[in-house]
Amino acid sequence: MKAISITVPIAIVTIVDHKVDFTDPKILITSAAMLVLGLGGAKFTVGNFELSGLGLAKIIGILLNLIFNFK
Amino acid sequence: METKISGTLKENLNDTNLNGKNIVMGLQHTFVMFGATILVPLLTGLEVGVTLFASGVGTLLFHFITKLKVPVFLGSSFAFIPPIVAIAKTGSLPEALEGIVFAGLLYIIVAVLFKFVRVDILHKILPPQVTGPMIVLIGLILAPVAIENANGTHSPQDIF
Repeated sequence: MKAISITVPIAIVTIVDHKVDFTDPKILITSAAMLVLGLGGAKFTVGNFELSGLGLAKIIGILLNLIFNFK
Repeated sequence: METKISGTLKENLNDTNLNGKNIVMGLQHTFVMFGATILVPLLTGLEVGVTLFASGVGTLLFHFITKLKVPVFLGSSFAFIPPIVAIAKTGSLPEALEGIVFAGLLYIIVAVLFKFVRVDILHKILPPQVTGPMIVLIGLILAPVAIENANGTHSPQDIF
């Protein structure tokens, strides 16, 4: 479990290295939605199938990013 | 992206000086890799020796194929723990092993697919503004687990 402690700083390094511009509303909405859905414990349920936490945040993030950058 | 690792694996492999720093670093790496590697068989009830042998063969194969470019040890995958535990409860452990073999075949199929998929398509689907928050989430969601593990209120089995 030592890996957990360095995960968040490493993520910040990834973001800083790629110069991600969080003042861009598209990027702001995508990342804000992912963080709130993942940490807030949102649940998406269809019948027996349930999607929550990290899985839900990842899929919503990928979809939002694709929708915003659709050409 | 600038690299944060000092020297390539080839250079580090050639650095065979038995100085204090190298010994401490080697011991530290062994501790981290050993704990993380044998935790998976301990949780799932598989053989520890087979796991160590397989990860050793896997690591050598990885370094042979990638020509010593990435200095890593390939341990056991934590992604397999929940399915193995679930299958072992309802079916039997050999059935779970069968599943692992087919998951490995799926890995190979995906690897072959990546030979044909252009890398910039992957960067379009997963740009840094998506992967960054993803990694932040992994760390923050698991943070309570780290504290519970550290103060002993949870046994490792409860995580999964």
